[in-house]
Amino acid sequence: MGVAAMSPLSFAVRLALVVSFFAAGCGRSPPIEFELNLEGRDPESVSAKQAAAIRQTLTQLFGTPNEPRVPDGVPLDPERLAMAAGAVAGDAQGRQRGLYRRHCVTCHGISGDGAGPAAAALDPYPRDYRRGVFKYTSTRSGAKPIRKDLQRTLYRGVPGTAMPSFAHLAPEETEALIDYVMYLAIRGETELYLLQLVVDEQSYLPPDMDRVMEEGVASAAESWLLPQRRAAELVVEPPPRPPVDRPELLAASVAKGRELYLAKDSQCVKCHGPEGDGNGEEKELYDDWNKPKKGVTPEQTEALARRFKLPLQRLRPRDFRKGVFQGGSGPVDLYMRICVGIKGTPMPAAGPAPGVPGPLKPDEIWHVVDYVRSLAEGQRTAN
Amino acid sequence: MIFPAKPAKAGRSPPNLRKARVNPDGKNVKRDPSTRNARCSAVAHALAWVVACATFPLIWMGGFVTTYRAGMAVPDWPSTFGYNLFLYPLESWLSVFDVFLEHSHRLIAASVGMLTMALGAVLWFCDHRRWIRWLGVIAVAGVSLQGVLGGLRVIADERFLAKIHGCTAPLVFALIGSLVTFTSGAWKAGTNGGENGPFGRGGSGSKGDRRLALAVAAGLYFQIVAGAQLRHLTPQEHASWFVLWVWIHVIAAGLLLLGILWVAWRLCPARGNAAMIARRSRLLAGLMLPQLVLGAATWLTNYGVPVWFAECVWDVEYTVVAGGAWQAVLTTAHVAVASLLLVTAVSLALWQARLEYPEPEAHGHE
Repeated sequence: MGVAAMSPLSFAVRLALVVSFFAAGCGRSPPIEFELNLEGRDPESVSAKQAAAIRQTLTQLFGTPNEPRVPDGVPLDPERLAMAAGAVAGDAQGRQRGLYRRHCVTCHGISGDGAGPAAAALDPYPRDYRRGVFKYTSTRSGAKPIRKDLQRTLYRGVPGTAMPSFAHLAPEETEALIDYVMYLAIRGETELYLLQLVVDEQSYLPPDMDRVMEEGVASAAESWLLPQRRAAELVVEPPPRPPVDRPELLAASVAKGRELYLAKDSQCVKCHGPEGDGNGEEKELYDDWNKPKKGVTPEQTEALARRFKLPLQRLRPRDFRKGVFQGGSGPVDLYMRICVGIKGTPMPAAGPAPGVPGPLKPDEIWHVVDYVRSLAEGQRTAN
Repeated sequence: MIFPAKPAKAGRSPPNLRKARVNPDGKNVKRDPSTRNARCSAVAHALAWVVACATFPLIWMGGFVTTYRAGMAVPDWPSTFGYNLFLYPLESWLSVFDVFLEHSHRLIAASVGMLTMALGAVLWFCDHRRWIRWLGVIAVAGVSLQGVLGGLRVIADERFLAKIHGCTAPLVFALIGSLVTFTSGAWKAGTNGGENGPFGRGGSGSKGDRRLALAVAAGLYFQIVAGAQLRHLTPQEHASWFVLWVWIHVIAAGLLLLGILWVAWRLCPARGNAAMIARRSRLLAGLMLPQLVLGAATWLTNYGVPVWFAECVWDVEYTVVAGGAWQAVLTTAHVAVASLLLVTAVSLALWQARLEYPEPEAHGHE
């Protein structure tokens, strides 16, 4: 005989260990539900009755992750939502269902809270849709993105982050996902309104549905429709770029751009540093999703951390020399970032707006774009 | 004689006068048990190799199904959109990518299942070693269980079952790999007869080396399970679990690398070890290094460049491409090579154990 035989008892014990290892936690996964947005709130401050009332109202208005509903007046396509929502499935013709759960939920979470299973390992964190704030848009400060902005982000991804490019998706799948992201955003904004109404203002329960519809749902929906209705005012179209096809023109533009970059009014140096290496005097920078997690003292920050799903994450001003721009590195992308800023972050809108001149004129923004791009190219040449 | 002899056909001698094939002992070849055993062994060994070679692509295909998130592309089981598994129209199979992945996975699985049953039958009826016969039965049960797990995953639409299915597949692969080892002539012969013997000249390392090799095999399987936690995420999981499993996976990878390199060094021929032991330990090391690279590539293609790398080493402009070829191939290769590592480690441990008892296995039925 070759290998020494194992006694039956020993074999049975080992088999039981293996089976119990796999059986631990066995059973059906808990049902998939939207989670109440208690980020930043003391959980004790929301009573069970209040929480139940808010959940019920939201379910009545917006349905569930498996069966979403579109409230009246919300500019979303129910068929597209049905395609994006629910469990992942396909049919023999390749028509997909559950697109959000297939492609997005790992990072963005079921509720669109940006705290999916993989979120904590990522820097920057995935987007929390629930405030309706999106970073890379072509709309002015305070305005929602237009569909084209979300399409661009889905198609190109966000370089330097975990947000992939979904260029391979069919157009109808992309549109379905855009609708679903907007759905989560509008639902999230309505939820924030309800929390303010029910918890902060201690309104009677159940909440007045007419008031919720008017001040919550309709208000959120209207904010998404506004950029379409007032496109001339709220959507930025970059003007033609001044000619830089000759080296001397480009050099002049870069020099002018550097001058503007270093000027006090434009405030670039404060965060990005005089050399554009991201080493400005402002070190403690946080985006709007992380600011509430920062206390005045470390003890406060630690106490606040218990009220959030993800730990505090610092923002890093872009080091232009590396040439990695999350919103896109093309001239038009950089123009947009400078003109309308990056919403939800300390990066301000430096371009003009209706009734507001802004620190930089359109031509001046193009010069700064040329300067910023020259820093990356200069580093590449040096390397 | 009850019946008279048939008259011989022209040009042929009568049947009872035809020359019987005899072996050197004078026994009829067809009826001599030792010759029949040798043939059966050869068939069993060849069949074990076929099953093993068919299982590896099955693991690849299963990996692709997970990587492309096509696990629910076909919502029913064991049928495919109502068709019998083997009768699903070719055109429909090839026209939708997700369906192609899932249905191909099922077809290969069915083939592996049938081949394993054939192997089990050959081992049961031909191999004289009772423990091998029962191991064949366990292999059949294991493959069948895998099939059922995969089916239940679809019927229940339960990602947890997908995780289990992914964790038990390498075990079944390792079991089939073990059958390849156990059915080999070298294993049965067992004599450590000098340089020309099946094991070549040399030993299998010290007791500590054998224990380390076993620990490496166990560690590799643990890594597979840890990796499965990272691949099969359910939406309800808390974000902190993923970070924990990433750390576990990375630290374990480092420890395994050290362990494997140590094993390879300890079991090298220069230290008086048998060539086949040294070969397996070198193969282990040879697979581990690319596996680390594949692991890094898997992270890069799924989650982008880590911030610490971008800040301290090199900030490259990289955009993750969902469903891209690199993402799919590198991620799935990482999964497949993990199974190959496990099989190699198990083979090494088995041969080390065999060399402790280098006597031929007894012939005749147990």
